[in-house]
Amino acid sequence: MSEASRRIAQHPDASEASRRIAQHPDASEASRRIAQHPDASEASRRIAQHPDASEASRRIAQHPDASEASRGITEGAMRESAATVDLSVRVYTWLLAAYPGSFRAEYGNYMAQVFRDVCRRDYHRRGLRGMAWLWARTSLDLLRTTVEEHIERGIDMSREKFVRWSGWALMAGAVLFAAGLIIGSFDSYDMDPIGGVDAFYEISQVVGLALGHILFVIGLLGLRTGYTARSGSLGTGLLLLAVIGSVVSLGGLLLMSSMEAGWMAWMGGFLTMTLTLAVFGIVAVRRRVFSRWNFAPILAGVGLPLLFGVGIAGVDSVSGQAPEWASFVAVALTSIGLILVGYRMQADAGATAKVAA
Amino acid sequence: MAEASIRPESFLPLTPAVFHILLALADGEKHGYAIMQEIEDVTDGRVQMGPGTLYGSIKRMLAAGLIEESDDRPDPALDDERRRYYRQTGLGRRVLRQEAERMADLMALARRKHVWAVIGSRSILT
Repeated sequence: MSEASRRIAQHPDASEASRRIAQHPDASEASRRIAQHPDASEASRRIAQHPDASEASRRIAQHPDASEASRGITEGAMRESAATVDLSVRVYTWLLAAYPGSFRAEYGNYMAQVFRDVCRRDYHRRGLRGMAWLWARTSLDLLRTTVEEHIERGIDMSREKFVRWSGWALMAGAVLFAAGLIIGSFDSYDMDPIGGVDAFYEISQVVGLALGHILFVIGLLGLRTGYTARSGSLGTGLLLLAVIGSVVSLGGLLLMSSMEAGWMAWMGGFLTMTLTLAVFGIVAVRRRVFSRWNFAPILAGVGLPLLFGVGIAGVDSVSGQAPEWASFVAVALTSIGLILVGYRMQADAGATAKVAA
Repeated sequence: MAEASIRPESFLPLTPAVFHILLALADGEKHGYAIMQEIEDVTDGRVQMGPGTLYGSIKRMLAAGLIEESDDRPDPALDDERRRYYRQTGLGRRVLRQEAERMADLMALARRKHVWAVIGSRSILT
């Protein structure tokens, strides 16, 4: 069957339309004229020879509306059916108000249209009994799916909000982290009494780093929550490792003043976090995890490992440490990368929550 | 998001509603009522989907990229142009195939365990 014929056949009014055509006073005259037309027999022959013709006839004969259509419906019954269907559709449209607004706005009209089609069909097939049975089924469907849609809407909203706010947290964390390290770099590391200018640098560094790390944990949790479905098993595993790294790093930072191992935990955790982010960035580029800027996690992740590499390689032969400019570049790369990731998270939060659902 | 990189297995098992909708769209695009009608026809009326289940599933399938809205609007003379037509995506086809294979594996297992047998065209639960 051609596409046009298929669509006509699918239309719920098809059998009703055929009946009306057959009842029209001009129908027999039109049939006579068609039959008398010189091309008519040739056209009939071609239709009969078409490979889809017998299949189409078989389907029409098997269609549940076929016998109903041939039996015919009186005008009075039609009016009654129209009134019953209209009333049912009106009640159903009114009941659609129970769905969440966004769902109703998107699909409400189509649902009412489908319900109208089913109403017509069931009324024509089984009359009022058919309508009663349809309403029983539809009421249960309405009750169950309204609850489902409200629950899903609630979950979507909280997931969307969490991803959005964790995006902002990642951006704020990156700024505080960079500010803490840069301000802290002015510290002369003299054992000056509390209240000296160095104290300001030290306190700024500690507060910036601590708050920055707390926000990193929140931001990376949001990243994992929002992007698991898009990242595949490797990406999801890497994001989990990044979250663990950020937690270890935060713990190390908080314990640094009381435990010597705190420093190691801080550096180890931070290195784990950034390295896994860099590898996750490769996954993001390959799978197009974000709508844009998929390179951002690589940017966020390469800075500090590069700095360590430079330090280990002993670029500065006097101190055996990385030069100051390299530290600045590393911090800048990490922060800019995290800000870009955070920006994408909050910008894409709506779409992300839907995919994650 | 690259559709090709999403693993179809991650969607399995499908809910009966999603499976039937994908199956109904296997032979071409359809609008909501046609999908519903096809499901009732092929299941001899055993599966009757309400408008809420149908469009709730369609919403989730659109979001997951299993189906898409057809851009071709039908000729108003042929059909009601206000209807929305849906069709399978490449991912939807792959997911449907995987689900069918999964079910076939389960059936084979049931047969091996003598829980289910086929005699001619009839299936018998033993």
